[in-house]
Amino acid sequence: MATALRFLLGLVLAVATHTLALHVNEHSPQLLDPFVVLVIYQALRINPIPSAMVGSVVGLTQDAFTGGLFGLHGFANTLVAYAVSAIRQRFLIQQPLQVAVLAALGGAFQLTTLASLQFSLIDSAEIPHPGFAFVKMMVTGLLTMGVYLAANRFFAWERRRREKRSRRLRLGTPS
Amino acid sequence: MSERWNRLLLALLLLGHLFLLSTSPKTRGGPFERWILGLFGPVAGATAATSSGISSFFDSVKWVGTLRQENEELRQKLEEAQYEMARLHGIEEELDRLARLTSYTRAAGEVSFVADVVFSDPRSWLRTLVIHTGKERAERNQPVVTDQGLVGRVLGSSGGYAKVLLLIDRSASASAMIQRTRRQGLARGAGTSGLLLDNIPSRSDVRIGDRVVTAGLDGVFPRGLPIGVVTRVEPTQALFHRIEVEPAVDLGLLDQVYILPHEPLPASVRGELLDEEASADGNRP
Repeated sequence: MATALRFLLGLVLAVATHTLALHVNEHSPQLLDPFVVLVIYQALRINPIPSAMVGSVVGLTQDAFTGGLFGLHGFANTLVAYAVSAIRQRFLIQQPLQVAVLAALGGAFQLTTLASLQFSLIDSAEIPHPGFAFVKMMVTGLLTMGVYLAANRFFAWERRRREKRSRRLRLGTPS
Repeated sequence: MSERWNRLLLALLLLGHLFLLSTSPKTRGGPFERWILGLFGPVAGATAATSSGISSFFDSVKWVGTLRQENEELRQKLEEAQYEMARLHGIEEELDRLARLTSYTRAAGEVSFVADVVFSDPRSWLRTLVIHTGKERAERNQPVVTDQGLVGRVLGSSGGYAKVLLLIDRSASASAMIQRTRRQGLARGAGTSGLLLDNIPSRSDVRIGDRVVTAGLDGVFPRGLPIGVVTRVEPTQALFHRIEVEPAVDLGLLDQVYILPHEPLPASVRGELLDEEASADGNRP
């Protein structure tokens, strides 16, 4: 339940960040994609199939808030989430730098998938600018690493708090 | 869950997305999409509103600086405008003054009315004319001219008639000046058909053929009316030249004259001048 709530909070934050970035600069989606950051972060935490489901939901939400065909981001994010989660399981990715590299590759994979889908479905598809795509990869990697580190700290703090609380409860129990 | 099941589930998910893509309407707004938008739309709306509020706050902060600068510029422009206004006010006053002068000259050109000469006796001792003014009423000292130049001034009127004192009469005079040199003197009737120009110093440059016009200093005739042409200049041992002037107007050809408006000096000024004259007379031995 707590995990679902956290995911929902993450989705709300992603929507808010996307809206805010668009409000600041209408070209910001070319450099920043908070949805894929959320997808990759979740994929680093959970197993591949739940990750794919998370990717589907996040992708469809992104489709609702972005232009283009509905289901485009859903498809790409599902694939990215499954792939990242599978790689994380296989290579035991835990170090921040590894997370950043994996997230950047995940971002690149998403861009490639999106471009491929668009080319196969739309006649007048545009190739993303290589410079912007590279920056977007870097931003995705760094942001995911930042979120991952912040979440680790939060979980550590929460664990310590829970332990303290349970120790206090044990001490307070009459023997 | 085995790897095969995982892959199957993933394939199903991807197929579901492909189905959505294939059924995605050309125009946006499918039911599923609308449902998501309805769910997360308020978040986006709240974010946009907050962002707008923040950006308007920063904009207003930025505007304060801009307004300050604009205020300074407007202040400077106002000062410049005030200076310009003062300058223009000065010019306006000068123009008024010039306009007054112009209107004075123009008044000289303006004709009050035209009168017919009904009686002329140039051979009489008193060189006068009688003119018929019709419904108009001529007043004392109104200048009488023709298109050639000065004739004289109105002595008095009665009904539709007025008597004009010609400039060639011995008792008539007008302040005059030589047009070329602006040297001022006094033109007076010689009693014959000619005029004399008095009070022109011997050292003054006067030539035969010089045009003589009214100087506008006598309070009767406006400046610039042609009086005549210098026909003779006699050098004397005295202080002044003796200058004979032929009138510009041929008095034997008069049949119509123009009566110009006369603007007498204000009573206060005239009174002061008369007082000064009286006192000057009283001081004389």
